[in-house]
Amino acid sequence: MHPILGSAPRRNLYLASWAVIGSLGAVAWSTANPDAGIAVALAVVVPPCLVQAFVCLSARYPCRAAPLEAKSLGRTLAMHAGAGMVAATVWAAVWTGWTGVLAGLPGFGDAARLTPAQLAAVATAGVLLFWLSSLVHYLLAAFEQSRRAEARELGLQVLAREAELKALRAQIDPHFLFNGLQSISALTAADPAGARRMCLRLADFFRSSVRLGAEDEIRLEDEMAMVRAYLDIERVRYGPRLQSEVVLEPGCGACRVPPLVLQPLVENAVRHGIRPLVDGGVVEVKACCDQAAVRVRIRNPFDMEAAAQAGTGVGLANVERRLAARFGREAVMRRRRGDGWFEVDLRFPRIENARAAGEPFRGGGR
Amino acid sequence: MTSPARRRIRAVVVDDEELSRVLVREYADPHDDIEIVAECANGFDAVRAVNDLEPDLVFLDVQMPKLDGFEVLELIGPDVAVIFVTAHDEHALRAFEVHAVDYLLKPFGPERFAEALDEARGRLARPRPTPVSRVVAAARPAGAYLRRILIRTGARVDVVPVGSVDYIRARDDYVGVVAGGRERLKQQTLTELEGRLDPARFVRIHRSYLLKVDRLTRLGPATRDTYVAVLADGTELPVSRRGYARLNELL
Repeated sequence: MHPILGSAPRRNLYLASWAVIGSLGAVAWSTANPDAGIAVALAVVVPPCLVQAFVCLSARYPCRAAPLEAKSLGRTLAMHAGAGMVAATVWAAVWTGWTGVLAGLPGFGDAARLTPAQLAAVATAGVLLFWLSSLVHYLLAAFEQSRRAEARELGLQVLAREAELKALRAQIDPHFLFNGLQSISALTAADPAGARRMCLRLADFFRSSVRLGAEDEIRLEDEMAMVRAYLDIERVRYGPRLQSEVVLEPGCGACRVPPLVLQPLVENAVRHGIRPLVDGGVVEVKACCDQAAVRVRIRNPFDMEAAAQAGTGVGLANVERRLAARFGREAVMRRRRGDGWFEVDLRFPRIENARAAGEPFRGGGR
Repeated sequence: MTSPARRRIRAVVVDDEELSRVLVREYADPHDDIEIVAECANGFDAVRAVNDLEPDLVFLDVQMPKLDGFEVLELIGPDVAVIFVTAHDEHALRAFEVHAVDYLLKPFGPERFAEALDEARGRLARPRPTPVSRVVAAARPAGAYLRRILIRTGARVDVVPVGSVDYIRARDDYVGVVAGGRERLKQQTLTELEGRLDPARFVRIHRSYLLKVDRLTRLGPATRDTYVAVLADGTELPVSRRGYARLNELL
């Protein structure tokens, strides 16, 4: 598509500029021929100007053939000199022809004929106009290019963000499955009914994790149900060492959360809190809300003497990033460590309506 | 399945999950030559049981309360055959560096278990002790300094957090770890232990002394060439000329 003809506003602006050029030409011509009226001047000047308006559109081709980034300045200049000559020659010919026709008409006479000096001036103006048009074409090309680069940059940003979100997408630790299967294997002989119960629990848990994990966000009560299911399964492994207290304040169940944001925190609490303790302890998960915000606290005991294990921070940081991606700066995550206990507090805006599909990302909060 | 002529193998099962111990016991049941003499749910109990019962074989989980599987291995020494049992495959390399007999990934079946047992029988028939230093080195996760020093005296295990150590001194074949005014002996050389501690916190001030730098309160001259380091509790330690240079470099 031609950069000027292709868009209506640019086309109109271009034609308006040529109307101005034509009028100026007519004024110049009537100054040189004071005897002739302004109507005659317009009749002489405007038609060649119209022709030149279209000729100048062809400046696009030399501009494309010699882009500004090209290394050879000489070649670029030669290209434009040549193109300008051709354009000027065409224009001079059009003028000569047109004034010749006009001179034969009644009411114009010899005044319409161009003197050699006038013809030279016309040719010069033709070259300059063509070069001006080239300049405009270069500007337009540069503008287009920067716009394309911007769009590309924006596209890349969106892609990167999507990739990051995909990477952050909640995933269940595969070892959870392996350990669950080990428990089933052990129960098969000793407690077949228990083995079957464990199979069904694992199946239920994985089915909901796949279903809910595919959503952008889910209801808090669904997330809490996942947490309960997770703890039930882990209790089969750990026995009485693992106790839990999961409380969801009435009226908060419909608040929206990204799927599986609490589950990794509870997993951490079990793995790094309960497991290193010989006698285990209680994992507490408490969620409440007010008009504006949802608060969740996950608390677990932990062994002060046990060496901090690697990998504790990764799960937490992941949850923090997912909350930030969804709620922006309004999501807050705080960890606190006391004498034998560890606590993670989450606070994020209360939103109860599902986000419409395809609604753009909300970067900085609500 | 097993010939009566075969020697009996006494085994200890170490896993903090009861169901896992149940499973190992169940899989071992058909093998007449295997006798499970103890089950332990944490690292301390494991060290005690190995010390008291002197088993031939240990089924060892990696992640456990108190001491992890590699720390248990460091404390029980290389004379016992070890089969690791865990759901995590990322420890396998370290396990084979300490010449573990086998590495069972949960969940595993009775056939795989029998293979591991065969391997253990072979190993026990022709013992191939692992150098202690290799076991010790493997007990440390790659690139990390010790966070606690494990000291075993008979069946008793002391865990000394590195932060509580004042200084460590060489005593013949042992090192004396002094923490809070109490000294505990550990069978290791000072140089070996020094290599596992953070050099930004511990300085070898003397051939026989490794000082935790934050315990130093002042440095005084002793003779023309040597100095004496005075600790917060008034203890004076000799500082050699090279030790003085090292201290200066760090401070």
